[in-house]
Amino acid sequence: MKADLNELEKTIIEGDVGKTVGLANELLEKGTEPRKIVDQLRHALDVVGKEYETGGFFLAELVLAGMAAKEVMNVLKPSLASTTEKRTLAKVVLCTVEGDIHDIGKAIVEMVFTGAGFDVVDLGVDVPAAKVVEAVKKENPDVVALSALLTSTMVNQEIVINELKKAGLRDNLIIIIGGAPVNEEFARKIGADAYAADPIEGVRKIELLL
Amino acid sequence: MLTSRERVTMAIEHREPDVVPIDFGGMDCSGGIHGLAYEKLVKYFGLREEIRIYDPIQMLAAPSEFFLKKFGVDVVSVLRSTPPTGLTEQDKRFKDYYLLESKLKIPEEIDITRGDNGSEYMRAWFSRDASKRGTIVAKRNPSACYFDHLPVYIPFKDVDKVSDLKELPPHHWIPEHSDAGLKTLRKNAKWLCENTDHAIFGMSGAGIFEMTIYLLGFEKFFRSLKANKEVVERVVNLLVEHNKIELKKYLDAVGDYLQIVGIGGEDLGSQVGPIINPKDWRELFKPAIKELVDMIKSRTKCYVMVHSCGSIKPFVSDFIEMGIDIWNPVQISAKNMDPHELKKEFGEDITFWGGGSDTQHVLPFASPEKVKDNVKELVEIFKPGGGFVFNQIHNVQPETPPQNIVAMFEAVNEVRRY
Repeated sequence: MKADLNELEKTIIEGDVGKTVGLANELLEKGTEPRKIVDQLRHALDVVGKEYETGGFFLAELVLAGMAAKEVMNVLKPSLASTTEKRTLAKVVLCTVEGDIHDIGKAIVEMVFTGAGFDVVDLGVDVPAAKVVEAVKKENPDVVALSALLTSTMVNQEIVINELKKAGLRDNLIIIIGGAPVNEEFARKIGADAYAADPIEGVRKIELLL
Repeated sequence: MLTSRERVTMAIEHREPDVVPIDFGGMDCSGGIHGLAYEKLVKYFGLREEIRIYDPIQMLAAPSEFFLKKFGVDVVSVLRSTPPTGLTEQDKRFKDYYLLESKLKIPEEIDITRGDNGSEYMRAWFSRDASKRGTIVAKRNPSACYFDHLPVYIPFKDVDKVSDLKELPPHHWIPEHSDAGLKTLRKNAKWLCENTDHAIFGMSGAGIFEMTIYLLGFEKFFRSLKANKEVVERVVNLLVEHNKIELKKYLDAVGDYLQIVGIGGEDLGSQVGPIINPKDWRELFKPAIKELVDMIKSRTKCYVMVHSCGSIKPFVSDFIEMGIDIWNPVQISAKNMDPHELKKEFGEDITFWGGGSDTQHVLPFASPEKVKDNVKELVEIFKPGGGFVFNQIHNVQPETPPQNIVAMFEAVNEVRRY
């Protein structure tokens, strides 16, 4: 089984989306616990994340690994639903903020977060703060993740945080931001809990804060 | 004192001119200013100008003669309105367009329709094939400052087989020159060349890597790179063959009058690193781009500029090897793009056109004093030995205060002398 799990990890790291689904199904048929497969996915994404941070891997490899991991999670979902263990590490409400219709970064985050075992509620793009507040009330997430690609829309990340405060919801949430123009300093300035330069760093930071 | 054209030429040839040349809006894709920021700048100086948008996707406005003189600008775009192609004609060919709360002017032929919930859709007004002009190519949400194509128009998103890739679809960044359009452009270029001493830039629009991604979409592109490379190769082939035809027409029309021809966009990097492994880029894309560079070099005396955003240091030596003279926009605000290192490693072999002010973090948000410090620091790093044309890193964004734009140009004028 260990060899099979290692093989699955290898195909995630290589971004071989087609092969991972087959391997995941085989592992389940052989009686592998779904939780062990999720742990292997997480390890694979950690390896990919480290390679990405140090310049060994590029955006292409990050995205392919995220796609592969997400496909495996889709295979595992029914099995995970039937276990008594806590199904997911955390629930995340994710969106691109108002005024911004870019969804590439958000899509990569969604893939990697799902692949890492998070339950992701994707609100889409150009999402007004009021809609984020409504989603938080409905979904009761652990995390709100906000993406912005433009200098003219990143300010809306702060507006979302302020609206969550007004609604009395802020204190029970981990708020993480990302996107090309934002950084740690901006995250601190607007009262976010974390900033992540890439989705795998985002997974790590959320886990530290949970 | 040198003319602007002499100044820019010396800089590109890695000789120190009298002062650092300045560009503002000459490199018309990424060296300019959003219409809303320009409107504020115009009001700041108490001027009464129509805000004319020449790029309806990015909503860019061309700075008027007042600002070219005020800021000491040396470069103009070949698209710049001139008397022959004319103010009178241009007046007739612009129409009102309301962006958020501002009244702008856009070229009359731009086809924008309003959809549900106040969104707007742009159609392929530019297509030579009239039957394709109804294609929706971009969308603007009600609160957005731009149009964007990626969420609504990915023509090859569902393609899996090479045999499905028969021809290129219309796209506002794939050139389709008309004879009449090139005739007008030639008249414009000739007038600018003979009646001004500006250096003249022309964006050919011939791009390969970035356009491949736009046509396939990121997901399909990455999957194909891994498991179906023939699809990527076919798209590259379609683009290079099309671009060679269009580029030849463009160069034949205006090549005699331009000093710089741009290729791209060839955005190779994200904020943190290359989009794909440079090794894969060299195999699949570099040869095609080199064909375009070689064509410009063999048909004209123009310098070749590549536009490539992002964290792209691993590719710069390839640009040099390919014979590219200029790299724009030099996004020093991205990761691993330290300006000292870039100048030290590449400064003798390629001209930096950009890198002069951080348009992501400083220019829109900092105080005018901090903007000045940022600009002065960057100019001092890039200017020694020539090989530098000042431009802010990318288009000035809508929220940028006019005081900061003024501070930027005051700063560069204070330190530009050699």
